[in-house]
Parts: sequence; C-alpha cells; structure tokens
Amino acid sequence: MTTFSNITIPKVDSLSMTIEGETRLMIRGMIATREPNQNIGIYFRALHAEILASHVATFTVDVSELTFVNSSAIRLFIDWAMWLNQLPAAQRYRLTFVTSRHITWQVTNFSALRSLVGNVVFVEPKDGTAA
Amino acid sequence: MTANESLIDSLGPNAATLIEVRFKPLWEYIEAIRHLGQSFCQTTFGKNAVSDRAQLIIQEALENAVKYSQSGPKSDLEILISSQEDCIEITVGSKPTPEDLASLREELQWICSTDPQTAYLEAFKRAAENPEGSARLGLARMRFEGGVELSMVETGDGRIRLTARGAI
Repeated sequence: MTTFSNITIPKVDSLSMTIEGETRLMIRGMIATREPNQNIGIYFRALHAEILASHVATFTVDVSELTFVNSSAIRLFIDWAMWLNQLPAAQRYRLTFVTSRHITWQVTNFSALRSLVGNVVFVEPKDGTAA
Repeated sequence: MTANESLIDSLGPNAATLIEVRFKPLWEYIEAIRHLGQSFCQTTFGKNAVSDRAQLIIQEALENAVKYSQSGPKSDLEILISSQEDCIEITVGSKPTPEDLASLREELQWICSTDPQTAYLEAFKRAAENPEGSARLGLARMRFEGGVELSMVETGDGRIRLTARGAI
C-alpha cells in the first residue's frame, strides 16, 4: 500500500492534481504561475521520494488534460526526469507521462524530454502508441 | 464580412496594427493579456493553431518582460499584435535592466544562430544541467513551439522591442 495520497497537494490557481488508483497522478488545467517550483515542484519531489521509499516499479503522470503551461512548468518535468536519471539503474522506477497528441506543448516538450533522457522517461499518447 | 471570411480578410492585405495595449509590468496582468491576445487572434484569423501559438508567445514574452523590466512609476510594457499578408507579428516593448539586456542580446544571438529545434533541445539540456538556475527556455520555446523568428530592436532610450514573426 503506497502513501501518495497522504502527501499534501498544493492549491494552485487553475490547476487540479489528484492521485488516481495506486500509482497515477492526474493533472488537469493549466500552469502559468511565476514560481511553480515553490509548490508544484516541492510536491513532485515529495512524490518522487515516496515512490523510491515504497519501491514502486512504475508511476504514471497523466498530463493529457493539462492544456497550457509556461516554460517554468516545463522545467518541473525536466527536473523530475533528471532526479530519476541521476539514480543508479537498479533504483529507478518507470516514469510514464500520458499525453495528448492534440495539445501542441505536450507533443513538442515530451518529445524533447525523451531525446534528453529517453532511457528513464516514457511517453504514452492517449490516442496513440507508447514511446 | 461573410460567415466564411476571417476578420483579417476584411481588413485587406496590408493591415498593420490589430491590437495595442500598454500596461504596468505586473505578473498578475499576464493572464488577462494572454487571454485577450488569444481570443483576439482566434476571432481575427479563425484558426485554433494560430491563437494557440499566439497564447504561448504572449505568455513567454511577457513573463520575460515582467521579470526583467526596470521598476519605477514610469515603467510600463506594451504589446502590439499586427498582421501583414500571411504573417503575424507579436511585439513586446519593455525597458530591461542593463544586465538583463546584455543577457538577452547574448541569448537571442545564440538561439537565432541555429535551427529552432536544435536550439530548444540545447536549452532543455542546459536547464537539465543547471537545476538551481532559472529555466531559460522561454525564447527558444517561442521560436520552436511558436513557429516564429525572433528579432530585437533597441530604441536608444533603454527600451527594447522584441518581435516574434511567423506565418499565419
């Protein structure tokens, strides 16, 4: 039994984050705040730590309904991928982002993320095949 | 204007300024200006792809302008959306600090010296290698994801105009 739902989810304007099932974070809305690392980034970091502590093999972040983000928010996903990338392979979990092919920022940015750390981050378009 | 004709068609091929707004460089205003610009572009061009790109460009350009503007009672930002033939131009005027202006010059020179995708991937890599630094993805993102070319004019009074120009 994981404890992801015990981690406090920050309240951010125009954004909804919920833990669905055991190992899935659903993010809906938009992120255009000035310093998302100060709340959303801290939450992602806490999730990452809990995933490692729980020895969970896979974790999914569904951003398919996250319609708009600024570049500071994109940085959050880069950071998460890099935390994982810095771990020895044996300690890593499989991090999958579920995306929408119809939202341009997701197509361009998760493709870029894959090109950077494609060995630790996986992308699964909701309306297509996994990469 | 007929139902199938976009507003820009009715303005003619040499239409220039479509919208111009001047406002205080406050973060809280960015969302309102972004919504205005997106809605305006949707109404004018009738294409979701154009209004989505405009939204992205407005957000990133204004974030940069707000973050790096000089403070003071006379400090302001201006945004100008214009169109000519088959191109849209989004220009943001601001007065950055001298240090930030030097960084902006350097960043623009670097970004514009390579193709948009390569520049954005390099910016991604830079962000990944500097977790404590600022993202600095905005300009490269505007160019790659927004599908525009960027240029900057210094007007001599410390003010600059950053222009994003791309096909509609």
